[in-house]
Amino acid sequence: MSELRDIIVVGAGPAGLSAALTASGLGLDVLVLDEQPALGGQLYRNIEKANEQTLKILGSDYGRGRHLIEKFRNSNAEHLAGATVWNIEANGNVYYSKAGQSSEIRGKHVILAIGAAERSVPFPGWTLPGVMGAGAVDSNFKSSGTIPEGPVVFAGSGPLFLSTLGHMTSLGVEIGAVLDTTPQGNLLAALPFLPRAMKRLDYFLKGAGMLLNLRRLGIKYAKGINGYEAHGRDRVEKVSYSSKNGVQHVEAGVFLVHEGLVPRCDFTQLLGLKHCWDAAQRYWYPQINHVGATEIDTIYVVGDGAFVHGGMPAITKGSLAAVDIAGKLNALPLDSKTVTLAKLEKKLSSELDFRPFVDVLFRPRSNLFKMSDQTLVCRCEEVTAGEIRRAINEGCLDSNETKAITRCGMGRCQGRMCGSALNEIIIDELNRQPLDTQPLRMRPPVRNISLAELSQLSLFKNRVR
Amino acid sequence: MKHADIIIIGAGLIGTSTALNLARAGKKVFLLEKESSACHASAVNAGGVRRLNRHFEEIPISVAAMEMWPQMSALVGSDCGFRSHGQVHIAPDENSMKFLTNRVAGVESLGFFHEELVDATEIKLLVPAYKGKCKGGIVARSDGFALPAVTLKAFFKTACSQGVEAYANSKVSSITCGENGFSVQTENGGLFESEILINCSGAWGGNIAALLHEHLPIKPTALSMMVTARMPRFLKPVVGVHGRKLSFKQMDNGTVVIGGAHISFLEMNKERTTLDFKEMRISASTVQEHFPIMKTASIVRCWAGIEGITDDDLPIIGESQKTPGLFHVCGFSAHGFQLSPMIGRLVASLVQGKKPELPLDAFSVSRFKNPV
Ligand SMILES: Cc1cc2nc3c(=O)[nH]c(=O)nc-3n(C[C@H](O)[C@H](O)[C@H](O)COP(=O)(O)OP(=O)(O)OC[C@H]3O[C@@H](n4cnc5c(N)ncnc54)[C@H](O)[C@@H]3O)c2cc1C
Repeated sequence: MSELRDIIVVGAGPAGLSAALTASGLGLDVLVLDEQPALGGQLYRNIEKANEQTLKILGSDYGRGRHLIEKFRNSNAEHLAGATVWNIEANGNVYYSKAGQSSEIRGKHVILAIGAAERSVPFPGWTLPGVMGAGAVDSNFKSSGTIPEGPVVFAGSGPLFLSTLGHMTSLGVEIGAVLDTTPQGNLLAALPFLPRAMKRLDYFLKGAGMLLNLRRLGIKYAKGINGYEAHGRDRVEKVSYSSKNGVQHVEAGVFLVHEGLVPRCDFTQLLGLKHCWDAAQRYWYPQINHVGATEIDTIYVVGDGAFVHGGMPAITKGSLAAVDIAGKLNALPLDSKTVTLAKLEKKLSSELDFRPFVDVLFRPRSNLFKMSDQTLVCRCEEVTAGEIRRAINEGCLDSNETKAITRCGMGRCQGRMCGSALNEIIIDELNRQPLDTQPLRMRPPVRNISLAELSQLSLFKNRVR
Repeated sequence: MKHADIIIIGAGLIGTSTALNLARAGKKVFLLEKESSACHASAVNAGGVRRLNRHFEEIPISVAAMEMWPQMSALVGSDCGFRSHGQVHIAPDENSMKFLTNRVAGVESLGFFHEELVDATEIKLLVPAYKGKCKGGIVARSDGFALPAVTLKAFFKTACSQGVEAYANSKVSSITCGENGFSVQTENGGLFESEILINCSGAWGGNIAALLHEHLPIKPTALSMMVTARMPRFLKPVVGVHGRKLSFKQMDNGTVVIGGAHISFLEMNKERTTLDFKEMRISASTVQEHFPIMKTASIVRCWAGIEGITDDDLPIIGESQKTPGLFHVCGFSAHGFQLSPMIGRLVASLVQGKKPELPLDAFSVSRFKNPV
């Protein structure tokens, strides 16, 4: 394989596929890397192999991916499946691992399209077997058709929460209870944005239909939940939850939690790019311009990894970056670049019309990260909230220093699971503005590789810097 | 304008340890640090606490420092994670063994007996997982390792509790020297005055000296490290192999910390390091060759720390050749962590015009031929 490509796209979801399609359509040499065995990312996961029943259950949002992937298959863009990227450098070097072999490759430009991850929120019992992300269970269903065995208790909020719930009810999963953590004031606050959002009436109808369906099936649905715990000896057996009506319990075989999606900033943090804080969604996102370009000329960020906007906008964001790069690489004359970008931007803006409503409606609850001292925050290194608070009270001032002292975030996942919680504790304890805090520093390899694999790393023959 | 007896630039371990000792001697000290908290060499080093294989000039200080490490709780209220599992330096061939034999004789002729020559059988007992070539080696049985970030925090906290006034986010950007001493300005608008100024700015030592038009031969260098996921316990002492770039230790929690002075790319103006994976590949091969048990170890993180390295690999300690009242204590050349508790004590005496417990002459900047 050639060492130098015009564009390396990391992530084969809607944003990455669209970027690759657009760029290769403009004559650029594109390679797409994705750790999954199949194209599609999270949203269109495994869609090429989906059967009729799956397609029916997952609906048109999923089905739409087929068309995109077909176009991708017919393009000149190359796809490397099962390729886990573990390092990216500012000059466009990308290191990835495939089937136990790591290699280096370079792109004149790198488009990061690695999407969003479920927000990880520690709560008592969150490490018990049987407690899982709702989105992860949805992904499992897409890739292998497996569904959880009930009674399944759902807790959380957000569009993905509702769609997963919808899929699981359609599949006939036994649902013990649905604990909706959406703050009850959100709806009122979101109403002013409703008119702009009305053109996606289909979403609202779908959501409403799903809730009606729950009622029809007699599934317990509790609103205004402001906290929960998982209990059990060897795995989850029971969930307790609190609302203004006090604490209640429900039996659970599986406990599925989802508190919204957050951009995956692993690589943008690794690259030392500037990040902004979204106060409403309470997450960091990389600072980019209107076409996804970052302060490092080689690096672009598109899709939910730039900001969580969902599938359709991700497709448009991917194209925007591709067109901009095509301009830079002289594959597109300036005037047609300008016209195309303007068109795409208009499209994006109209696709984002429903977002303000959704974003306010699903704004996370304010006590999301209020945890007791006993709550385990870092599962890799087994650090509790109390230990973190003690370190802060003894003088640690930011997340990176607290990490060095407590080891919270130093384990295998490099803080992907505990980073937000750690930062939120610092914000709380030191009365900080989130913007005055720092997300955890990332270090390569961003995904673990074995020492033997590193010792066999295949590098360019002519390395330049 | 704030006034103190002494201003120290750089709140790494060298600056903090010096500040602590001066505060205990009743001096008013300002400690200026450009970061929100010191996060460079002192916080991210390999944590090796080693007398073994020291440059002969450094041995007296290193030996004295070693007596302090087991007493850290009394000194700074934390054991600093110090573990005294020994340090081992292996001779892979006859030539290395000859070299090390001579070395130990040299060390003993200075009156120090911490380095012990051992045979291959003893190495096997000490490091059973070692499968590389071995003709014997040298051992310092009460050497060990500690936790850098924890050590730095403990020193810093203690220094502050002893009255040191520490200023964070305070990058020194200009220094003037007049009749009444130094006036130091920081980028965030701070203005500080003192009679005595100590340059403890590590890899930035040359930059600080340059503010007063002095040249120090310190080369900022990014040194690479890697750490693995937890492994079952297989190793107690810290291990190095003669002639090979390997420094290897297993921490209490089972993670394995791998160093060996592999260099990363460094853009000093941005303070940005980029790991050189060609070097990391070599490091991984070296580890595998000597410790096959490590093949399946999972690498969790690599990083690089910025250290000041001098032309002769010895630190610069002493009064400026050019500006009286200015002291340089920097350029510890990748082995300042172990020395730091003792350096603070010696430098505190030096700047107060007292005779230090141990001579520091060998580290004077005058040893370099470069014109001032
Ligand atoms: C990867 C690595 C591994 C190492 N392993 C070992 C080991 O195993 N054993 C051992 O003994 N030693 C080791 N060392 C060496 C040891 O870490 C250093 O010698 C020691 O920490 C130096 O301390 P310092 O205070 O001089 O420097 P630093 O800790 O770098 O402190 C200097 C401080 O000065 C500040 N500063 C710079 N310019 C300014 C300015 N203009 N204004 C204000 N502040 C400023 C910096 O921000 C910094 O915090 C290692 C070093 C590295 C990098």
